[in-house]
Amino acid sequence: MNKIKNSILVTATAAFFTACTYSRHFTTTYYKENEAALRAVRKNFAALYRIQPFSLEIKDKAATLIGLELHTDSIKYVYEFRLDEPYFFDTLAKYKFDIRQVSELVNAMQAAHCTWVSLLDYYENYQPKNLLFISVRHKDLTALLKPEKYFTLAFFNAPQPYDEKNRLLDRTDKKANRKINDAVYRRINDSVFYALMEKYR
Amino acid sequence: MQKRSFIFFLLFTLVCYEQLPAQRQRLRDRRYEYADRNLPAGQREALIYLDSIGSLPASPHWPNVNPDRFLQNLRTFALTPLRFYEGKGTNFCAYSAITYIPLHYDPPGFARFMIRLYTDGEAEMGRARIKPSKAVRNEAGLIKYKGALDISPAGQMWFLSLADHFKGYLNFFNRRFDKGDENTLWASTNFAKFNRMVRRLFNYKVKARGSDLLRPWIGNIYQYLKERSAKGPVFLYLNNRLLYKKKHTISRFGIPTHFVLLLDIYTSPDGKINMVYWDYGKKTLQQVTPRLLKKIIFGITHFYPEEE
Repeated sequence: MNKIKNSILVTATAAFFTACTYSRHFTTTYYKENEAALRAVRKNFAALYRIQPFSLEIKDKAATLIGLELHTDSIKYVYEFRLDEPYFFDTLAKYKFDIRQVSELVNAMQAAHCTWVSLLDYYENYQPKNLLFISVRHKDLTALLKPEKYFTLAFFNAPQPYDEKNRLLDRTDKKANRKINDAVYRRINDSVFYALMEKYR
Repeated sequence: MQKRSFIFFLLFTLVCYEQLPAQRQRLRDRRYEYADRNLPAGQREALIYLDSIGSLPASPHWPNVNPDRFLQNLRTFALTPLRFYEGKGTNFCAYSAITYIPLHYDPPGFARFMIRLYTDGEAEMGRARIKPSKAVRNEAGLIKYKGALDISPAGQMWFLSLADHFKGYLNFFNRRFDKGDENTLWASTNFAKFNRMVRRLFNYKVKARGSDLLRPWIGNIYQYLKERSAKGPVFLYLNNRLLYKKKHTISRFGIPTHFVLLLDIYTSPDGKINMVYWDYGKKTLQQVTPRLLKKIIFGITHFYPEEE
């Protein structure tokens, strides 16, 4: 009887601690499983960004609420749209976006569980550069008693240096960790790095 | 030997004599160029002042601030004041918001202050004598991964100096600068400290409503902001977690964390409120509901530039 009690206790404790931790499996498998969808996000985002710089957010699971930030030279417009209203498509038309391509971007983001996509500026030796920043919101990244985490991906335009622990390094001195939004990033491949963060942007 | 030295001296004098009118002509050309660009008088005066300086020797007080980049930054501030950028993820938003005042009302004064701060390691603005600590002076020019702030050593100097000089209760447990403190409580600003900074730095008569924890008791906050912003600059101390969400979790306990400059506010046909504010080196137009507007605003600071 004691043995049964003990095994129940051990199982319950293990289950409790598993519920309190994020899935490590996720960080290792997510990219491979969603590579095609991520490629579609990158391709569509890059094409649309050339028309007008912007950032896009899918606010809910069913993608009925969309956040759009449009960046012009002088002002940033922050919009929130419900897809059952015509305003989103009116705005896209006003800025001459290809609506079919925006739909493809939203679909690819949904397929890859992306909640946010934007282009981040950074500087290297006083030279401006940019990287594509994608945040993923996934149920595997939620845990009991812990705040929700986001799996964020940084896509660089060129291979980046990294250390023996696969952490992204500063290109200028190749010693310090190069941080993005104050987080240390780890290698997926030579130009794609990831970090788990508490904020999606 | 003496004869050769004399000839060198003569040649040197001749070259200088030849170059002086050319330099004067260049400065004159620049004056016309600024006039052609229709720049406001203050900005023009700041640029002419910076041109008259020409170049600066490296300052022993700011070992990591390159003098040429520093001067270039000051020119950029004078030319495009609304591009002034506080850096990604820093706690410099309050210092950045108040920078609108000198860059808008006294660009040459700001340029002179920065030059003095660079050359002497200390300078006076309004009733404040800013004398940054050595740790801060060594750090300016080294802050990285903050977007455009990385290439603005002058901006880093200004933010670090203000954060080092002005202290509020939020800075109580972290009063001395350590590397990375631009992201910590060392750099943060509470509402009273913000108002004190505006009063001391610019000698303006400041009126403030609100606090760090309780929202101001104003019946129609939209109307209040509309009236005040028509008379002069209005700064808002707001809960940015609600205005500009970065997480999906809903927090019931809302506190203000961000300062912005309100540039315009008006209603849209569907009853929502369009607010145009300035932060992170850009104007932003965002639509909010009247309920959200009331919920996010904790502090309103305004002053009348003509009243000192």
